[in-house]
Amino acid sequence: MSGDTASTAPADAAYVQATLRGDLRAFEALVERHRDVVVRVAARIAGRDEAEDVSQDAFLRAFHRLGRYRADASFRAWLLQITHNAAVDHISRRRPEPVETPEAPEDPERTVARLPAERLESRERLARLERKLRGLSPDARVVLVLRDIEGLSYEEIADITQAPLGTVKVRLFRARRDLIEMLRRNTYDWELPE
Amino acid sequence: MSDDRSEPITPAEQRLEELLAQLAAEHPTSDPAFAATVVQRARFQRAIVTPLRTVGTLVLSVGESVWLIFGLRRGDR
Repeated sequence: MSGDTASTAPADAAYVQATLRGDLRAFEALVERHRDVVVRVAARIAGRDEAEDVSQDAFLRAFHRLGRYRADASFRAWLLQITHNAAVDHISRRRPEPVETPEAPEDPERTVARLPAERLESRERLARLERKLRGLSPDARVVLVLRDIEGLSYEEIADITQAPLGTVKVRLFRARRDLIEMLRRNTYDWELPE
Repeated sequence: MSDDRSEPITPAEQRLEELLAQLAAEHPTSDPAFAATVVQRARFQRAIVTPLRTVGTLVLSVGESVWLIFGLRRGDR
């Protein structure tokens, strides 16, 4: 799920140096290299509708702080730390989301793509799951997204969230438990064994 | 989604893993012009931030100098 950054780290460091010398094409290359993971993480923490704004905010924050990036560290982890902070700031500024109303069916106008029924059902199931994820607390959601969806290591998650390793593991355990409970309470059948 | 859990995974956790794996396989997309937009905003912000920082530093230096000069004069009396 997550590509290791070891092979891309030297190139990232070179792009950072070039950006600091004023080369904005180098910054554009950095954005292109990491936009997918940033948008994915932003979408899963803050929601799909907000993902682009949060991602842009994260890249711009990174741009202004590039001078603080240490070349011996993973650029992706550093950038995801900024993305995490931007997403959490975004959530905290926003009104709390109602937990049950998102269960309403999707706007038919948006699903008119005339997809095969099976694909439509699968898409709707994933959209429901994403909404359920957003029912978790931000701390729990972040570790679950980074570990179980993005496949990052515990150490990387500890760096990104600036939490001790033990805290990350406890949050992950609780996040999985809480999500299972939420899905079990849901009227939709998630086929979760007792 | 490999894990270093010492305890065996429960059937419910296994099912949750399957569901999350489906979610992981489905990637949200972004505007194709995303990078260009970010760079455009970065260029604009840099054009504003750099002069502002220069002006701020200048104002701070002048303020410190004025404070120093008046402080010294007051000390002379």
